[in-house]
Amino acid sequence: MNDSLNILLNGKIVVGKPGETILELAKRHGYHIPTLCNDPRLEPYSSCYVCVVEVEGLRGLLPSCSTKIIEGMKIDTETNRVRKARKAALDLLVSNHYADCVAPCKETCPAGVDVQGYISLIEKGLYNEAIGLIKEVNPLPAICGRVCVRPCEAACRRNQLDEGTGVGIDYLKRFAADIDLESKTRYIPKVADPTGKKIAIIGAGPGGLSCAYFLQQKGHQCDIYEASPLAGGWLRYGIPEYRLPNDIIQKEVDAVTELGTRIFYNRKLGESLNYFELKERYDSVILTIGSQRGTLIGCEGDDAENVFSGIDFLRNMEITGQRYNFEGKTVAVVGGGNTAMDCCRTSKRCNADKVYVIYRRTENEMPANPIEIHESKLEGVEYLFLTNPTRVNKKEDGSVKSITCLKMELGAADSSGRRRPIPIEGSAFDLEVDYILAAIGQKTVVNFLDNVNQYADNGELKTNRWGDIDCDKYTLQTGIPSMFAAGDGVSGPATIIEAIAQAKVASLSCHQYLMALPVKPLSKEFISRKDNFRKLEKSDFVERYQQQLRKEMPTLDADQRINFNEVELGYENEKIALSETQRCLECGCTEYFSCDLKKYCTEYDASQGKYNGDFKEYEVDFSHPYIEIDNNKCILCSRCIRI
Amino acid sequence: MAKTKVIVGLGSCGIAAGARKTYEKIKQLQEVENLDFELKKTSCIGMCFREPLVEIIDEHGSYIYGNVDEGRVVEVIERHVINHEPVKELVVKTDLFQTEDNHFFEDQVKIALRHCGYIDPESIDEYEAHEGYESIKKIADNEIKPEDVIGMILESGLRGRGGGGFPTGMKWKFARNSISSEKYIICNADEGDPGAFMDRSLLEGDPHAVLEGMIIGAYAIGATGGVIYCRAEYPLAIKRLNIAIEQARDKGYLGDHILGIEGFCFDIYVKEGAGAFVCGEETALIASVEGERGMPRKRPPFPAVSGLWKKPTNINNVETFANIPWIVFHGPGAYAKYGTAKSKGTKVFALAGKINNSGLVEVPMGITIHDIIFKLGGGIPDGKRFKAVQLGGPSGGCIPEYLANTIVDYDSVNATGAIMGSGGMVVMDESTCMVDVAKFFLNFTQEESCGKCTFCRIGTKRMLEILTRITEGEGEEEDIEKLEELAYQIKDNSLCGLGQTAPNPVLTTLKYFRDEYTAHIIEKKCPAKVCKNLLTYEIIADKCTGCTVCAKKCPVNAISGERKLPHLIDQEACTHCGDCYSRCKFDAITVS
Repeated sequence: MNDSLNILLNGKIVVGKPGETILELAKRHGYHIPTLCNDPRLEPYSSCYVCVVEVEGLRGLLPSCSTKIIEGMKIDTETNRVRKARKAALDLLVSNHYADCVAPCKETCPAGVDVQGYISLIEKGLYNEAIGLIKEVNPLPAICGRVCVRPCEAACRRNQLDEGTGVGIDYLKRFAADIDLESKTRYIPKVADPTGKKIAIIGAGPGGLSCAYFLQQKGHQCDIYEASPLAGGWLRYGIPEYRLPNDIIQKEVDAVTELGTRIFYNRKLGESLNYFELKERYDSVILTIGSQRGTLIGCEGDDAENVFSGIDFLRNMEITGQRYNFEGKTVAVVGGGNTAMDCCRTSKRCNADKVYVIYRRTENEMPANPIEIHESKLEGVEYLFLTNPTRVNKKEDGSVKSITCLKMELGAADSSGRRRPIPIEGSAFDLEVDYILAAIGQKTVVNFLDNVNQYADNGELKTNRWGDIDCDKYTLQTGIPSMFAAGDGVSGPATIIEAIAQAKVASLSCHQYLMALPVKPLSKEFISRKDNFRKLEKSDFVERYQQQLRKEMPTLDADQRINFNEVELGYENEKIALSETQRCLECGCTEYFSCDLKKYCTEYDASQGKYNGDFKEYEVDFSHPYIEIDNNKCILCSRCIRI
Repeated sequence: MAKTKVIVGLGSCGIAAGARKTYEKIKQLQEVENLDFELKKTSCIGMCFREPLVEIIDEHGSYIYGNVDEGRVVEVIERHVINHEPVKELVVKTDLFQTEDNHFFEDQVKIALRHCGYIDPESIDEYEAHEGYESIKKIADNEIKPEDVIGMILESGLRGRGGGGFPTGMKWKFARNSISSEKYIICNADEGDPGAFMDRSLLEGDPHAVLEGMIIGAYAIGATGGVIYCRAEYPLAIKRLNIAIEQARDKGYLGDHILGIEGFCFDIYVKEGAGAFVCGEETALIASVEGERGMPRKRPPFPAVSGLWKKPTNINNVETFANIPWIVFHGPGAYAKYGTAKSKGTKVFALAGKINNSGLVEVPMGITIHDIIFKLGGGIPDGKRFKAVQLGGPSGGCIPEYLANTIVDYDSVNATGAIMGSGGMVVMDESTCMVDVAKFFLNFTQEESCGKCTFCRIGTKRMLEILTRITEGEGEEEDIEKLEELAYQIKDNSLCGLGQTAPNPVLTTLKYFRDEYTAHIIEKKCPAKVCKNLLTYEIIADKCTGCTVCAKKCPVNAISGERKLPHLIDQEACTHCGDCYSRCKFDAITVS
């Protein structure tokens, strides 16, 4: 027998060893062929059919793991036909792979925080490590641990088992973050050697701080320019202190600046800061400007004295350090979002006699966090649902006398999926009030556009049809290639965690730009989801897991709240935190980081829904002391029985 | 003068039709009346549609009587045996006068089936009396070398009758050329196609021919051991094989130094298979013989190099082996005289489905499918229109009416998208829904998939789900494209023949009857009126007499109406069972 075989592999002549399989030959020559059932220690089996290749002159494709090479074989490992077949094999395999790659909490989080991971670290008492894990994608855990809107908790599967009380994810995050902030071994990320590149970041809100945190670690010098005298953006100027104390904000701002980032205050782009200066001194600019202007009610008389936008009301107090005095007054807050909640609860703390929230739909449609609604009611806020203001009536001196409202009813669903409120004829009534706070929306202020475009020489900064900054949806690069944007200024008013998530994207793009790499987003990761097969129900959890309702965080008594002290007090001790961590159902797969099926599905853009149909569902077998057998995940590679 | 012989056909088909009772009745009659004739057993002659069959051979010749159930025994025996007056109206085959069924045999050439229905399969003497074991003797007497035997088979042009059509001589040559002190020869009798019963009839009717074929093969390749892998659902075949093996051993056709050929030591045993369809695939068959799960493995290595117990192994089908002794005895030229340029000899087919003469036929290659169905098979029952024929079972495909002139020849059949297969021929008429047919066959392969490789395991399942949806009226426009995409991927990327051919019924029906698919999907109609969910039953008010029968019998009370007034079907409630339609005596119910 010859001791070497001549093979044409992907158009190149290579020398093969007799007895070698195509897979082995390709590997030796640097071609990676995916396979799921093969193991070099075992006899080839050929069940997964992911390793197929094309061999000239043969019908069909061949599994490379078990096909031995022969003299003169012409093999192609990467043709379109091969890639299509591999994708089809993966599509079919995952169409019967009733399993979750990641837990719903992580999937739902806009920033993709590895919730299951950090809960597990908290359970082990590894608080610094937990914060390290969070900070890979979210640099503000102590802040988010207090004021995040927590889509993760709404998605938590514990809700189904435990009467709607998901795991206290945010409480746990706050618990670990507070310990970490005070700890001597506080988590501090490594900063790469300086690259010599400089980035100007406009705005020190959550988006700007996050960009600086991510990019400073890459070795780029980040300078933040902030229009206000202090950092934090709406965290400081919008969210009242009873929810988010200023010292917490400062500590997390410090954790950013300690990496080397500088913040220049009272510098507003287009006014006290000229783009020309930025362009000259920096390699890149990131706009994290937020949405700065509150929207008024937009009805007759809304120019009356004592009618404010909610955010102005909140910001004024923070800037001046002076509280409004609403003693003996009646305040109407218009709107149903979190700003409305901050306004009504703050009004109560300003000693208002009566505080009304006027909202045109019902409580079910309110976008505000349910816990906020709950707390506001405890604090004595009154609600006028299905009510819409139509006119502000002035006193002779021009101040507010009353507000005329119409009663509404809910009609058909609109494009947002919520039922549209319809006025009921003849239902108008007047409500006597002294102050009106409009918390119905914010607009992005882009009055620096001319200044930027005046000096920009390789592109143009534009706004989109909503008046927000126009940029690429996936890379967040603006019309000026060196300029990126993130946060409310791009999306319109949204959440902190969304701003942080965008900051991650913009930071990656900016880094790529600075390193002269192609600017492109991370490729879409394949994620297997049980929800792709069927909706999970309570019966999926009862009897498998013990019921254990969430222990709510202790709060100030309602009668102790006529001040700006933090309402939520944090867990009393580690034991409570530990018992909360133990409620985690660990929905995500432990093989998330090492799973070949997932890796190849991502590489070949496989889809779980393409060939959807009947699927197998098994009870997980926990009978072995060390080995857990989850046949739902099994792809029948047979490796376990062949060993 | 020779004694009159009375021979009863006792194949599985005959037994199922009551031939055992016929036999007992004749025996009883013989004893009671003290009649002087020789009562014998034989197997299936192929006329399954006339079972039970009784052949009477008197001084004039042979008369085969059809439909001789227990009740007719006395009449036939009395009139023919005692009174010497053949009951002409019951004779289905004779050379002495024209019968209604004579055309069934007219175009047949019996080589593989040469003894079936003529000799007693449990008697080696009868086999020997009909050229039996003469071929191996010829080899021994003339000291024909193994290479020359292979040469004869090559020259005959015999191709694998299991369906693959690989030249048998070539296969033997590969096995011959593999050097090993141990080699095996296996007879694949794991006949599994729905509607196919060629191998069963052969094993029941002429087991010695198969044994002799194997012995010749063993001699040619140098095999030391033989296995007949037969499904356990064929108890009669297994019984007769074991009888034949015992007899062959006694006579020295099996054992050490067979017929004095120095060093030719060979024996055969029967391995019963549990009936998994995939075990008809040769590598799965080998795994099963070895006691493993019947799962295929990747080829190469081919069994000729590494087969049973990793030794060189040759596997042929029952019919292939049955042809061998005839070729050796009569010479390859005699065999190659029949057939076409590339497909020589004859082929056995099992006719089933919507055909008048269902049964077993052996025809020379080159005959048209039309002739088989209309001349031998007697056409379609009830005056219905011929629509298509499925060749090759679940691995094959359908050939539509307009291609009925396709000749029986490996290449011509393959060109239509169907395959020759092992010989199953399922005839379909206008009342057959082709989507339903595709679903039926795919359901079969899907259930029989061993589950090893991804495409066959999940891919066929997904195809079946789509077909099911279509037949239930939930098909979507993109389903056809999805079916085709999956079909080609499965063909391209399956480990064994089962998966590689499983999509064929779908692909051929899509090729020839795409309209029916679109009718199901777009118009939500089943043109053949088979798919229940797509049917609408309606009462024609003018014809309805108000007899109330339908309303009374409707299992879901979907029919209402006053006595003597036209009734009405509630379409929402109707489950499309068709009960009303079949009960209405006034043709007042339409189905669309």
